[in-house]
Order: sequence, then C-alpha cells, then structure tokens
Amino acid sequence: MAGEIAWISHYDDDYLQKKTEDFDLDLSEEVDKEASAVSVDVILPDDLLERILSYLPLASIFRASCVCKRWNTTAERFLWNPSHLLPQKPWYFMFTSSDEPTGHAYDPNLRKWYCIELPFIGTSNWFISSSYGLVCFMDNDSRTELCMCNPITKSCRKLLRPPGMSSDYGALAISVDKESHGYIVAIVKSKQVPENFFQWDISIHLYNSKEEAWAMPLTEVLTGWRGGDESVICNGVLYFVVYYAGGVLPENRHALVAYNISNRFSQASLSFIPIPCSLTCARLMNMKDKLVMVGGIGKHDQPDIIKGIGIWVLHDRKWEEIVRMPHKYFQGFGEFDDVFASSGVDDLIYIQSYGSPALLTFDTNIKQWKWSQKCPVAKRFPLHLFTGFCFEPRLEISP
Amino acid sequence: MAEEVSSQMNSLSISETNPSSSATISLVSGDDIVFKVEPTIAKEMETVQSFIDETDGKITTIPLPNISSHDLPYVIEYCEKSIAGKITKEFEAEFVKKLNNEEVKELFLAANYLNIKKLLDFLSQVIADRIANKSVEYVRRYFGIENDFTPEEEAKLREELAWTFTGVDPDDEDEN
Repeated sequence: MAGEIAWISHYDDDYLQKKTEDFDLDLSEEVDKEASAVSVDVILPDDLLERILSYLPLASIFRASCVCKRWNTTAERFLWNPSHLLPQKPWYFMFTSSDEPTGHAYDPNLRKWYCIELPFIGTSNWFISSSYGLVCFMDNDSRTELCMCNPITKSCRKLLRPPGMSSDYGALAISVDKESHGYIVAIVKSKQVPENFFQWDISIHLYNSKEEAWAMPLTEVLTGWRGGDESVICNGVLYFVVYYAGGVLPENRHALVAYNISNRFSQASLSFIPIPCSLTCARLMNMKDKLVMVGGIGKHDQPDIIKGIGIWVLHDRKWEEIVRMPHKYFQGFGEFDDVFASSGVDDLIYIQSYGSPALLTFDTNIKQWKWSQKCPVAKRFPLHLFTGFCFEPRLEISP
Repeated sequence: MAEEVSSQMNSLSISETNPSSSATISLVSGDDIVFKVEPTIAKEMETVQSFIDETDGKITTIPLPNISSHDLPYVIEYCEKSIAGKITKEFEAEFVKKLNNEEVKELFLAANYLNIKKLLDFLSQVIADRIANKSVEYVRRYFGIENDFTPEEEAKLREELAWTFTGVDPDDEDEN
C-alpha cells in the first residue's frame, strides 16, 4: 500500500482519552457525538441514507421503502423531491398485447422490465402523448375521451371533452411546464372536405390546465395535404406531420406543419417545413426543447420500402442529420415495417418495429446505439403487433 | 508511561511555532496506530483540516477514534490519488475490487466522519450499485436494520410496490 504511511507506535487507550481532554476543543465534543451516531451497529443517519438513495434507480428506492419505518419515511420524502434524485433516463412502456392495454415498462438505468398497469386507457391503439412525467390518453373512436395520468403514481384526471367535429384522422400532443406543472393538450383533427379529394379541413384544439377549458379551435383548409396521427409540442410550437393527399405530386410525400401556440391570439397561420428526404414514416419528439424526427428512409426506386432509419434535428427550419442507424442494428430487428414506433425524451430515443418486441435505444449525447434488455414477452402469432411510448418516471407530478 | 508520551507529543506540537508546509500530520486510528501523512493529505479530510486550523497548526496529532487502522490506509490512498489528480474510473474500479461489503460500509462511514466529499460520493455510488438489485432482506442484513413493520403493514406495502420486485437478485449471491 502507500509507501509514505508508517505507523510509529502504539498508544494505550488512556493516552488517547487524555489527549482529547487536554485539547478541550469543540471538535472533541463533535467527535463524541459522531461516535455515538455512527456506532458499530452501523445505523445510517438520515443524511447518509439519503446520499445512498440518491444513487439508486427509482425501483430500488421504492423497494428501500420496505426496509423499515425510518427508511420508508426517508424514501417517501426523497421520492417526492426530484432535486435529490439523479436524473433518471426516460422509460419505455411496451404494449405486449394487440388489444388489451397491458405491457411492461423498461427502465434503461437498471436495464430491467417492470410489469406496471396503466390507468384509464382502453386499448393499445389509443392516442398517447407524454411530457415531464405525465401521459395523456385519448380514445381512438370518438376521440373525445381524454385522461391525463402519472403512470408511476397512477394519479389520473379526466379532461373535458373537446368540442367540435368528428374526424378522419387525429393527432395528440401534450406539453407540461416543468415549473408550474401546468399543461397544454393539443389535438389536430383532419377531415376530408365532402366531395373533394384534395382538400382537408384541419382543426387544432387546445386545452389549457390553468383554465381547465378548450379554446376556440383554429381551422384551416389544406389543399393536397391531410393531417395524420403524429404531432409534438416543442418550445411553444405545435408540429404535426402532413401527408400527400393528391394533386400535384410534391418532392416528398410528407411535410411538417408548425403552429405557434404560445401566442394564439395573433392570427398566426400554419407554416410548412419540408422534410429532408423521402420517408416511409416520420416520428416527432421533443428532446430538450429541440424538435427531433426519426424517419424511415425509403428505397430510391421504391419509396414505400424502408431501407434504413435516420434521425434529424430541426434548427431554425433547417434539418440537420444527427445519425443513421447502422445496418447491423436495422437488420437486428428482423423484418422492419415501413411504419414503426419511436419516441424519446432528453437524450434517449427509443425505436421499435411493430413486428417484434425488440427495442433499440440511441443516446444522442454519447451517440451510442444499444439494444434494450430483452422484453419478457415473445411474439405469439404472426400478426401479434407491438408498440409503445416513452415517458419520464416522476413522482412529484400529478395531473 | 502514557503521561510521558503525551507530554512529549504536546511539546513537539508546541515547538512547531511556524506551521510550515513540510510538517507531517499524525493521524491516530481508533486502535491507536499512528499514520504520518503530508499536510496536503490532511487538507482533503475536512474534519482533520478544521482541527488543525482551529489550533493554528500547532497541533499535528489528530485522534480519529471512529476509524480503524484497517480502514485508514484506504482513506489515505484515496486522498493521495485525489491530490495527484489520478482518480480515474480504472483506479476506482481497482480500489473497490479490493473491498468487501463490510469494508465498503466502514469506509463510507469513515469518509463521512472525515468529511471527504469525493470519497463519500464515490462510496455512495458503490453501495448503491451493490444494493440496487438486492432484496429487502439483504439490505436489512447489510445495514443491520431491524424490520419494525407489522407483517400486515409490510405485506400491504409489498403489494403496492409489487412491480418493483421484478428480477431481484437471489440473496445467496456474492455476500461477503
């Protein structure tokens, strides 16, 4: 061991005792106090317990609350104050049944799957959007049943039904304010203008938790484009993907529409943002207030057939490619459909093929691709479909 | 005999009128072994440094009744590396490999007592890693904690938190 350290001699207990008395320093008192606090029984004082808890993943902190009453109180206090916790990577909930809204949640911190139940949701094909620990569900039939919930604490709040028309397509997006915990829910509805093949009525419905009410919807008519089911709110702007609906064939069959929702009293209109290349499918996500798009890249001669996956970030209406999925990962999914599931928060993007429970993550910070731990569910029949969504595990927030 | 040593030590300390940086500090472990360290090492240990500061550097022998002669060298080793700016992931991995669970726990308490923030943070992480996937019973044994829940209370709690019990390591694995 360290060479500089040398022991000089043994002193007996009396000496040590005497010495501390002689010095008569404040510290000697402290020493005694500390000595009894951290006795040989090793009873952890609260501050040390909190220190250890702060390095544990969420599920382990929950389990620690079963150790004894004192740990229970400390862990509870701890869990509800996020400033103590290490930043937890976002989780991914994977539906493992095609109809029932049941499934498993993946914690990338511990690389483990948990069997958790989601409140309120009826089937796995409901609309889902998440932001800062809250998840919003909307039914896929009437598109009027909405519920905000925290999937960890299971606290739930049903929202007022949005007014307005029925629709052919709908997209759901939410945005939670980190400080006030207030939220905005946005629904983009899209309905074909009767007896017109190229025109679509678009209506944007906004719900604000402060007013607990839906605002007057914004309506527009799109020519040659229709809305779909993909949208996200990022920095006060609602983005949604629109699809070619006939007429003059544009360069790409997808485009992005941006609508500034932070000043909705101004007559701000929708603005189009072209998409960087021909895609089979586009997924939008808010990564630390940057708009990120994961897209399936189509074959040159057959744009419907997916040949790879790219990730882009939007800077000031210009797309910058972050990365392309290396071929070995793309092949690792087995068969990859032209449409797929992808969502992300902070630095972590999840990508999942509908056809299998394989789940791939990309860390935008360290530029690393990584397979998740294998989901404890296997594909049971050829049409067994898998999907899922990403959410942040947070206890301190409730709708 | 003890008296003699004591007065000797005192006179030695007092003669140190000008606390030069070259004066070594003697750390006395709980089982009375003296470890001589450079003052820069003592600086890493906030508790020791404040002791020295309060006496204007006159006292250079510091009793550490809570720390055994078994643990102190590890603490000193870590502080030395820290001063040299050589706390790397590799060093930490090697360092912790040598330690069994009991030693990690003792060092953790020592780091807390000496107020060495870096070591404390590092060991918190080590302990967290070692218990993250363990059962409640394992954690109780590890920290010597008595379960004060009634069986009903515990059962209720475990039922509520059932999802967090997925895939917990079996208990007989890598205990000391």
